[in-house]
Amino acid sequence: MRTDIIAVFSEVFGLPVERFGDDTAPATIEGWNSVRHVELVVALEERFGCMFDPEEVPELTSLQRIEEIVRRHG
Amino acid sequence: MGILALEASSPDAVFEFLETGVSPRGRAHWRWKYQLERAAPGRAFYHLARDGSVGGFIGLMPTTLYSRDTTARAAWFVDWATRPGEGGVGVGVGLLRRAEAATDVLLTLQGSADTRQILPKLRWHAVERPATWVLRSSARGLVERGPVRRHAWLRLPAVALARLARLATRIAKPAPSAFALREVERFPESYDAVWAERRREFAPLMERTSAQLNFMCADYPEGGYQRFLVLAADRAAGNVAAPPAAGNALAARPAGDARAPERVVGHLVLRTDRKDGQTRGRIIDALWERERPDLVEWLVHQACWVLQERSVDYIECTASAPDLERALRALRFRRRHPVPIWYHRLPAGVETPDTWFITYLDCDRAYR
Repeated sequence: MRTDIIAVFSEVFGLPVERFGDDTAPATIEGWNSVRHVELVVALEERFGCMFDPEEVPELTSLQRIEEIVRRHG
Repeated sequence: MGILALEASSPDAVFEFLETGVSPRGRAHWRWKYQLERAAPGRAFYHLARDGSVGGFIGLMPTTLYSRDTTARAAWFVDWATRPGEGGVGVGVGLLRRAEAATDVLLTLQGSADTRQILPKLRWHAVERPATWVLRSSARGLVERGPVRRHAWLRLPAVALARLARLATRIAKPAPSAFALREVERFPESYDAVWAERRREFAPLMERTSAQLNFMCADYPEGGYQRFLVLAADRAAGNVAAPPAAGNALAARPAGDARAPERVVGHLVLRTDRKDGQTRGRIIDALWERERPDLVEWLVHQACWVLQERSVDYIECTASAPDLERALRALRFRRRHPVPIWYHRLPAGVETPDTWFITYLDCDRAYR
């Protein structure tokens, strides 16, 4: 799953997969703003076939947290 | 922590965020807009971070959409802001999803640059059917436009020319007719019988009950609205084809005038305020007997006359209906710019917003 999430990140931010790891966060990825976050949310939902709850969307700001939330959606 | 509903008892930090991050309108404005004294849940939400800071806010103005065949809960989202920087990332979308869950039809008009960038990514759609129409009604209204603002030396000759032009374009006082306006402080509950008739003719449109009109145009803390009932004469005056409707308790003939218009057939709301050093007049909203083109023409003419008498520099009207647009065009209004309506999803049987009757009542910036 982590590999798939990183693939989504790579596509949304236009950066190589190696660029994303445990330290991935809005502060460490250039261009991670509100608009790009929307694209990330939509891309993750499409990739994993889920719909994040309103409360979860602001939490999708690290690889580890995204992995936890995506797992919760099965 | 997380996304919470705005209440009168919400932390001061939320109201500070509204003043600094949304608009400095004061507590009275937020209490009115989000009905905080009335425990009306589901009107506004904010995001509270673990450290107690506010990450963002979204506010809704709920209404009811009357479609031709059905009704639906609808809401305009009118305030949407997030804290700048990393702390606000993702908060806006979370709040928007919370707002979507609170109603059947979530909408917004125009939208900021960010809104226009974000909404299409979330598969929202826009229609550009409503438009704002403008009539310059004073010499100042005619000259204080682009070139004259940029070149001061143009001002004197422009004012002289505009005064001449104004003489030619001044709106004449409407001739006596079978129609009349009666100014009211508030719309009486009995107006709801008229609304019930009109909504069938004007659907799809948003709620215009006496309660909704009073909330938006009488209780608005910053004021500026004028409210009128539209009256039409009965058959004896030779102009009105329909008899008074059953339950139209507003019918009342002024004493001593056998031909005076007596039957309430609709409403008109006007507003004046100041913008960029000019006095702006607005035709906020109107309903009338739809099958009567002479009535809508009279209504627009009368509205412009009232506003002209209040020395407005220009008059604006947002319209989406062909009959209202024809009446505006007849008075030399110019179509200025579209007012996009953004929407996400529509319940089955609800027509798309490009068919809706939209006015400033739906999109007045005063509410935002």
